[in-house]
Amino acid sequence: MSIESLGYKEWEGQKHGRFYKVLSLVDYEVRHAWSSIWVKILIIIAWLPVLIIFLVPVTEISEEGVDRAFYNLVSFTTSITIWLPIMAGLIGGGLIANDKNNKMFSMYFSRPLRREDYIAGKVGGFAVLMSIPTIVPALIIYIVLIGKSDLSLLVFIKKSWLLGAAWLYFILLIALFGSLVLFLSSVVTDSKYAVVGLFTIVILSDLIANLLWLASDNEIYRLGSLTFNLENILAEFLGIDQSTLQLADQQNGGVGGLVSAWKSLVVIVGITSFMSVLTLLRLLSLEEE
Amino acid sequence: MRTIVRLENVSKWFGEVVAVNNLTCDLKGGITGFLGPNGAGKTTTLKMINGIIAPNLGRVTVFGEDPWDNMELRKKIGVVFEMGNLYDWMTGEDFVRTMGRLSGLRSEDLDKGVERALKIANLYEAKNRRLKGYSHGMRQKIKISQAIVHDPQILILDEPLGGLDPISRRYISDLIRDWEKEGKDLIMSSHVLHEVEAVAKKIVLLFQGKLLAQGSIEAIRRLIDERPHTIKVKIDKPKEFVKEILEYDFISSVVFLDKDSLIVRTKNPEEFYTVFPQIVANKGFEVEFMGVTDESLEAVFKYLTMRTKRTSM
Repeated sequence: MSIESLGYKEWEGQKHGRFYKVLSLVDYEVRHAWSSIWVKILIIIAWLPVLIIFLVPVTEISEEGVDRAFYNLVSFTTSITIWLPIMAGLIGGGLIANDKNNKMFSMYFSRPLRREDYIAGKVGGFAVLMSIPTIVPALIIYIVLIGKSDLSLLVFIKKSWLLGAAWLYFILLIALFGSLVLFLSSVVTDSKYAVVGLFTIVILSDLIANLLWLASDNEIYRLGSLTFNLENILAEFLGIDQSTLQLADQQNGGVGGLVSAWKSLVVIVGITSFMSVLTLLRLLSLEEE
Repeated sequence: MRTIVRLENVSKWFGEVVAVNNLTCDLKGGITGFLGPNGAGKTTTLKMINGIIAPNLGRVTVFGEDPWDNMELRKKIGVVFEMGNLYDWMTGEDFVRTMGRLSGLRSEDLDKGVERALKIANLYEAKNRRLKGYSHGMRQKIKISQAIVHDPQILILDEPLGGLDPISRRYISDLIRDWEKEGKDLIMSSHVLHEVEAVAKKIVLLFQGKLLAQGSIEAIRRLIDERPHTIKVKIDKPKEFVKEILEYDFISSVVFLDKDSLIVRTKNPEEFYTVFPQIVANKGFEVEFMGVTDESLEAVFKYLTMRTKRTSM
């Protein structure tokens, strides 16, 4: 069918602003990731704690039970140190690398789409996808606990800081892995290298920090380990008794004197900020040849 | 005629590779074809016109404005560049809709724009099929759909006819001509003269990032036809074909590549392209492939480069 026969004429209507375009990109990224069977499997695994809470008949929950349920959820998400980088790598590894590999920059940047909007769309897509196995289950577990327990609503309101703390922790987690994986994705053209890179960073940071710590007996070296810092912050956020962890350290041959969680927080926020700036600079100057 | 694009002493390099070298030319309205062999700087020039990349030196203006990072100007431009298969999981409609949304189209206008773009590309019936199942021709058409979904004034097509089957080639050629009839402008690139010739009246000839010639199709053709061409032909009865074609004195030589492919060298490509279809039709030959070889085009451009140098001395 020719253009003429359709009465083709230039359209003069209004157009949406930048936020809408960012949302469109977020929507695209979420649907794209969802088309992967592996992403679905990992998200189902992440939702297992929620399913368990649904399935196990809980009639009496104490205040400590609420604490424990939250601790279990958050520790499940973080203690499996392999799991979160896989999820982040699988979702984030291809965000920019695939666009480069498939020469998609021309497709995006030939449109009235700013590079900042492109970056926001990519970050937004990653954040939404990573919140599905972290932030959303936390909320649902909290609601399920309210529904299933005989405790008064006031108890749950009093304990609502747990939900806030868990969310804050997850946001920190998403930001850290997001900044790392997006940077890696922006420097490679094959997403699997970004995943391998992310693993290498996580494992190496842990390995080197622990070796230095064991060799020197100086706790400060533990700050080099990403997983240690995350666990340290988690314990602080959720108000977990530090002496338990201290004891576990001593049993594992450590000196038992724990590093302040605030130092860990500074390290994690520092790494996240540094990687975010690097990614931003990289993307703003990236050109397709 | 109004100038839509102006390139003034434009240079662009990637590392140590100079893609475009001190290019100066004006593009008027209508259809303009960028012609040149691979590595001539066609795609880079088109990307600078679209504002996707910025020149290292010189100035590019489109409708009098600098296109680099110019969002308002981009609303008036639609482009088709080479791209991978990242969108294979989407349906045709979904793909065009996503691109329309990224161009900022609103819901109702988006629906209309998507429908119209799909109909123009003759893909409305196939809109619910995944891109994975699209043929090469359909892929090329869906790329054009996404480029026109937001009603641009200028359409930029990078190698739009490359590797297409005759039916798709004809359809896209018609679409390009219809675009011009609507009073819109189109810039396309190709490394095959006959592809550009079929639709464009004006040609910009690029070679190794430099402007070699610019002008009407007739003038450029005269320049190019002064040089012998080598044309590859893959045909079902090559011996019979050779017997027929050697009857003409504009054929310099014929070399067999394998049992059904041969290279024809002609002093006058214009006559060859006139006679060739007649022979095929009269004798009932089946042609699998016919086209100028890259080496031939390269030779033509080298010849023109030397010719330009001699003229300027």
